[in-house]
Amino acid sequence: MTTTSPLPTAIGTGDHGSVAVRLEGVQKVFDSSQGRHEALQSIDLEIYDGEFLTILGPSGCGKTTLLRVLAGFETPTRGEVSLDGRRCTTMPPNKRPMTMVFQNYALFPHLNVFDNIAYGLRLAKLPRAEIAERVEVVLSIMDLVGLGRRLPGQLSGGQQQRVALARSVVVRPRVLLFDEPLSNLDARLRDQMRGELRRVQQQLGVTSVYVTHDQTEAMAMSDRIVVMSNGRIQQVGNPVEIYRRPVSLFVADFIGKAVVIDCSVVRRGDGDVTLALLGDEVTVVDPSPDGEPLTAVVRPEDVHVRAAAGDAAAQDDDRRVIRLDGWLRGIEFLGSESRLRVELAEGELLDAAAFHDAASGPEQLPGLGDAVRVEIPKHAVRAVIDRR
Amino acid sequence: MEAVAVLPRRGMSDRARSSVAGIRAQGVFGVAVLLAVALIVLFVVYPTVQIIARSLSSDGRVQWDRLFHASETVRTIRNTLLLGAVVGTVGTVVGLVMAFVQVRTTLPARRLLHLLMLIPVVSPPFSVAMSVITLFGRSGLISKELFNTRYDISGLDGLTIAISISFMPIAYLNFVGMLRAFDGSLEEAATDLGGGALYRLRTVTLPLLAPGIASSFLLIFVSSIADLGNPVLLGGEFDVLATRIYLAVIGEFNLDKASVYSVMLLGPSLLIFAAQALWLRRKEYVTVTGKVAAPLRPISSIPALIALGTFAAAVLAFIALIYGYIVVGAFTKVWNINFTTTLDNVRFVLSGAGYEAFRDTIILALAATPIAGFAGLVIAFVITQRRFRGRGLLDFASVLGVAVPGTIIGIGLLLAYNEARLGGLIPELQGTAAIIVLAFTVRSMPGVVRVAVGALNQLGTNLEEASVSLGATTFQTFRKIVLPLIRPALFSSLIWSFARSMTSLSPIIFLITPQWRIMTAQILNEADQGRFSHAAAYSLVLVTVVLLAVGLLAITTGFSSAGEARGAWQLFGNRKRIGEGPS
Repeated sequence: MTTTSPLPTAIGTGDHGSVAVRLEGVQKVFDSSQGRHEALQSIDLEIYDGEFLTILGPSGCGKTTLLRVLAGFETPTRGEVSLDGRRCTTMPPNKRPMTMVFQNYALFPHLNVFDNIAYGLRLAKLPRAEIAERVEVVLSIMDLVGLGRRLPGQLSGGQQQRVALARSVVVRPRVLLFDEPLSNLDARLRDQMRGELRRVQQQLGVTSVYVTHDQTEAMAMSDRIVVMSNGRIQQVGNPVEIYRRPVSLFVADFIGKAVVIDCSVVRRGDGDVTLALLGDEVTVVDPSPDGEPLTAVVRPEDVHVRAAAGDAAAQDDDRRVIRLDGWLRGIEFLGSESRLRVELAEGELLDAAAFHDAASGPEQLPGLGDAVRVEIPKHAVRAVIDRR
Repeated sequence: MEAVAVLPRRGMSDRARSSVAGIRAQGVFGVAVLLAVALIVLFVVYPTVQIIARSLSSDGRVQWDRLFHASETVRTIRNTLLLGAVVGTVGTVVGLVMAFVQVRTTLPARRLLHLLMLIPVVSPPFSVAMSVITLFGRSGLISKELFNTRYDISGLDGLTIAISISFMPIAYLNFVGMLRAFDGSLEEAATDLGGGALYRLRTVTLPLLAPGIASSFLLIFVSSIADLGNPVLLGGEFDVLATRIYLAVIGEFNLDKASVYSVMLLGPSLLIFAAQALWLRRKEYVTVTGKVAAPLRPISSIPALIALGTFAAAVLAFIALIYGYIVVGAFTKVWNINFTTTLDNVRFVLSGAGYEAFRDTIILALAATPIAGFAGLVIAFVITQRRFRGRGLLDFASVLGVAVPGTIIGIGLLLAYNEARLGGLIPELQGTAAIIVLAFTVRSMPGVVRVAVGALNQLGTNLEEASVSLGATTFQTFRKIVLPLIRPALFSSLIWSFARSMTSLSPIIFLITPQWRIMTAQILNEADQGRFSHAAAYSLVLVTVVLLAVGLLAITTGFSSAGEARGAWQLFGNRKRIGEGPS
């Protein structure tokens, strides 16, 4: 374990450290009586030193299998895994300098907190005094001081979570692996632990791979996110890239909400593509070097809805904004925002979001059935690969 | 008891586990696994094969020929199957109703009900037969003294009563488990849809219990056709295969004939056991597993409660009468004839001529227990691993020790080891204590396997993976994590296998010698000679020893809060849950 790595910036910059773990062409096939299941198709991935990398995807996308391949619990059918440049594809899990934090914590129920945390240190045959010291240090980092004699069953969910983390970090692993560790906590505690986990990871600077299906978690914690589905990596990037520049409809839809807009390709080439949509044309970045079929998306918050009362003043930015007329057909008030549904003149339905603060409450929204004006800035439109 | 009191409840792949975290038949484990497998192969499979071979030898074929053309053989087989069917039905029905009373009513004394239902588990099955004879036999207390009839209960009537009582705990425990796991919302849904109580029972509850009913029936069927003690004492003119085998060996010392009868008994036993294990087990598992979403509501209909209560009270009174009368027999001069109280019989067992059998039985049962425990644990550990070639085979082989009737195990051991085998690696075992210990071991090991498998499955895989992830080897993980966690369950299963060895008759009846006497065989012998009071005293002492062992277990596991002991308590009944109401 390194002492402290520079704190990764909130918006990942490309300023990567050296490669800690590299996966090359990793494939995992499960053969069972039910048939053949290709859990991982061909995974290429580099995990940088000290970063917090999240593997995000729906259940069954292969993310847990990928984590277990890293841990050594599964051996890839094909491909190689290397750690700090040395191949470790078939190295057994107890020989790998990686530890795993499990979804159900997997605390040893017959051992108290101290013994749970000391478990790995004792296996490593460290001197008694050093074990005691290291456990004490980690207990204080984890805010567990005074709980050393408790059995896991006598702890709250959050405390158990912290013990599990303590047990894993105390052996100073090269890589820390998390298998949906927060999914057993209630919503409030989950938010709190999210911050705490990230704090500890940054404090220790330990390279971490975190598996989750919760996009909020992924966005909040990660330096980089790997979005997976069907055993493939869909996109790798920092949270802002993933949200603002999704490459496929799957990513756009899985991370946040996506408003899909029917479109047709007018011109394509040189990394740009011009799309005809909503009676207008926009030229945007082409996400597919291979010329795969495209569709257009915008985020609901980029679809602005106003009462239709004519004001000619804003017409001069026509080149930058798509303007449409329609009727407001649905309002869902969610507190900080409202979700709106607009029926366009052509009969098409469009989702939008309006954010609220003290100055712009829901009462300022047009009423149901009112004629409205919809505006979408052209730069908010994204072309994505039409693949879910 | 001789019953196949192992109620397998799991499919083959409930314990998903990775190949690497799992066992890699390495070092210590490799050796342990080999030893455990050798135990099964050498002392279950090989002896059974020996019997089959003997029945196919030229002398055996002569016997086949003769027996096939004898009308008495046909009658014996018919009797055997009839007995199995009748006892299977009675035992299953009584077990089901009693389980219903236990789980679905709030009637008083359900703890007593549970204890009385489990007494047959800790007593030699045929001790019931003695009571039945002295109470209802030709000169029975009730049949002659009370009603002055010349009714003779021996035959199918008596056997049905005695064997049903002996084996109904199988069904009872099975149904108690199933009913506790039953999702009450299913019945609530049926009620919502307008179903009346009986309609609900018929259309929802019973169909869901159907796999359990079938498996209870089959297990009791197999156990009762393999039972030896009851038919010997109480069979009368009603011949069954088990008594034929017994008479062929003890009366004629004709092992060819015994082998042929054994094969006739082995066929249906293995067939039924395989059907139960392969088909029903899976079905049962699918039907009633998982968390209880809604508790079952206790039955509130007054007529139903009266009917159930009366039935349960009658059954319990009968069990109490049967076992109570054994106690009477143990403390009277001549059971059923001279009721002068005396301690002579008990003294006979504890310090008189019977002491040797008392001592030998305990020593040999104690010797078998750790072997069965160790082998059972190793096998359980191996078969809970996911990717293990030949795992299914080992899983099945591990229950062979109870699937093969005890008499056949006994004769098989006799045939297999009447001379040195494996080039002298295994010496001649006939007449030694070792062969008795082996018989005890192979008969009680399957129970240990089941309990340990249950406990291991409860552990889940994450704990082991966590340990390995922190740097432990498979063996370190087993020693530091797995073993401490399944220790309570393991301890219960050891006590259980001790109880089983103490009460078993059929596997050792042909193996005892004047040097090594076994209490169950002594009981049969004394009863056969008409010294019923001695037999009763033996039974009483035996049950007391087993109960003391169980008491020890209750005390020790009572102090540890670990819930893992539950697996074994399923075999003894779940002590912790006895007092609980259904809600």
